[in-house]
Amino acid sequence: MKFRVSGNMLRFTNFQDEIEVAGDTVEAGMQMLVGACPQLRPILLDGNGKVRSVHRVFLNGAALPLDQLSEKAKAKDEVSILTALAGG
Amino acid sequence: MGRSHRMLNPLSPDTLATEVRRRFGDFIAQRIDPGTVERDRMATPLTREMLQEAGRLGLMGFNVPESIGGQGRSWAEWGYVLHEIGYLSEDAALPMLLAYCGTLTKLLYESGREDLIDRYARPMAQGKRIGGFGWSEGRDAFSFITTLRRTGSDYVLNGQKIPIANALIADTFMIFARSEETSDVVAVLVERDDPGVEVVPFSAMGLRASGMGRVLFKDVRLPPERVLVEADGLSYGQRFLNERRLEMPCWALGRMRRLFELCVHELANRVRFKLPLTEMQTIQAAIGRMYVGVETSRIVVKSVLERVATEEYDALWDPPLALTKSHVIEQALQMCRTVQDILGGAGVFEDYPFERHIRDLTCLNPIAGTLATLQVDLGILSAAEVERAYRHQS
Repeated sequence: MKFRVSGNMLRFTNFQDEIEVAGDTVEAGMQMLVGACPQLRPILLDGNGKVRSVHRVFLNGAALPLDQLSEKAKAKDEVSILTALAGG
Repeated sequence: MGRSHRMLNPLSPDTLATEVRRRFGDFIAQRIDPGTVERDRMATPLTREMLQEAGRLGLMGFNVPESIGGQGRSWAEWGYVLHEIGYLSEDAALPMLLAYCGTLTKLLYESGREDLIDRYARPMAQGKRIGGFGWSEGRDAFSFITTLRRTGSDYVLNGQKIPIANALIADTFMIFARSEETSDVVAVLVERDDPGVEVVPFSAMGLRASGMGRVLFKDVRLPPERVLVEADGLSYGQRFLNERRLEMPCWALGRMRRLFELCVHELANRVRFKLPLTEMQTIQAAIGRMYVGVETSRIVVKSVLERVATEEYDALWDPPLALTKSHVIEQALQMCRTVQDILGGAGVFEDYPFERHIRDLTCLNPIAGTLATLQVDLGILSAAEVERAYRHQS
């Protein structure tokens, strides 16, 4: 599947905005993603390896709740991560 | 259908608007309004006594449960109340701080920790303790250099937060820092009189009675019970900012209505070429533009208040809340420019009220995410939605 990364997440992927990974679920793909971009791991995942709730995940443009990341994913699927962080 | 239409429609239900005037009108007119200009000139914060009085009147815990001294009202009702206070209060710092303190109290209550509720949320809901929220430090949230270090059974906080609204009078600060142990963002509660805490004024161009300050932490020792959030403080902090994006537009819309009325009244009393300015087409078009800004903002705010009253919303980052801040503050900024375009000198001189309103409204751009930041995120989301629709069609 292809991960699309944008905005404030790009610095943790060496500014790659599209990253192809293997994996048959979104969750498995995320593990591959943080393996390929180690700086992203503590940003994207908490100490238990779960996606932090500040991130929003979209599978082919449709919002995917964080408790449904075990959803099957195909090679042509696109997973986008939006991290809407703002100042105080 | 022959039905008459009021041009400046009210946002709030009549019963709530009446309640606000009855319960809080005298406080605003007698205690807040008289010192507004002086506080603005001198960047003097609203006093602790003023916020305590607001607490006695029920304004510091309007939508937290009565069991801890709040009013137990809904978030939507609080939005309407903030709007009316935004309209009535000459000092924009009042609704700003009421909204800000209320959310802080609510977050502490929702922690569910009895020790924190008793020590912090309960007195805050009654105005007996004043809070401040320390997130910004001049860099993105992944690069905080304010750190928390564990030393034995305690923790040590170092760094600084700039700015913190209410810093000059707050008793307690909710501070977000990077854990040296885990590198994760954590949230701690710091008290003003903790050794190593220093508060320095940090005034903005507007909202000058809001007690903005820079708060420095030098080896501030904290017991473990002051750790509010041990992990994923990034998400926790966004809950506070998310709520700001609805409450701020509520009271800002009140300020816009007031500015609109003041401006039109001024124009109606100015004569050029033997005509009141309000009879000139250029001015009429400008008034029309401002009216569109006020009225579309009212429609957006009302719709979102109705939604939060009946539906679930995303507690961390809710697109309609971000849209509300984006739309209303964009309209407010455009209105500021229009007011200055059509009022000439009256729009810039201190002897008139307009420049103070303009400075206050201008300061709302960066709070809880700049318009540009919010619009980037909304743009990414809406583009993804369109792409998805096209993919389904093809």
